Amino acid sequence: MNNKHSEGTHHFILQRITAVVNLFLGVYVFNFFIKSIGRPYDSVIETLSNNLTWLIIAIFSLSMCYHMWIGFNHILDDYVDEVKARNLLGNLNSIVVVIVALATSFSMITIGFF
Amino acid sequence: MTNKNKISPLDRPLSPHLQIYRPSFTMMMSIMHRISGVILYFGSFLLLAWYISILIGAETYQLLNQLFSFTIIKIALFLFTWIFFHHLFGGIRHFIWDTGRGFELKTIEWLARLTAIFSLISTLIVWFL
Repeated sequence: MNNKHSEGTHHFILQRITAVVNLFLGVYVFNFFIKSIGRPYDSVIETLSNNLTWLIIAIFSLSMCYHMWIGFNHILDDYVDEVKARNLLGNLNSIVVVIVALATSFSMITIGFF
Repeated sequence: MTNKNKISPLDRPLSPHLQIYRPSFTMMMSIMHRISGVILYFGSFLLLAWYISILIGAETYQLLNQLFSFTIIKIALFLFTWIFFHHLFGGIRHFIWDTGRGFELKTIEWLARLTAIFSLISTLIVWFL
């Protein structure tokens, strides 16, 4: 099992805490992303050089990553009966989530400081 | 505790399959919550690609920006936004249920309708306001 039996309540609570974070920060980030289509590079950089903006995106990404890690593991637990396949996909899920979290944090910190 | 993996998959009792139930609106909305979650999971790669393009520089950013400006891609991004808000309002619905309220059939029906309506309105606001 990707979500171990002892972690059920823990994941239940964290899924909701990250959901609240995503609810507020996610709307901001998604709006920023969509409104940036067609905007010149300099103007996007200008927005991102504001400490609050890149920090919001970084925090949102970490919260989002944890949320989607739990969610995907639940789906695997529900639909993949084969133990080996489930463990493999579970590990793949962890790797993907860690890569997305690290890459976003790195991008945001680098853009924020330069 | 019995380990479910010790029984061969063929011997395990099966719960009623999805196709046994008559499809209902609330059921569709519930399924959509999970499907939208999966789509958002893969959609996060798109956001990451966008961040990285900003990190790399103006030329890469412009390339992605031009790609996003194609009508068909724009439609896809519009649907992606709708999927995001669908999951968001679906989540709020779950928060209401977490308090132990809103389980009456009529309320459930209305919560599902409101999810559909609000997700569409929010998407339109983000895109056209």
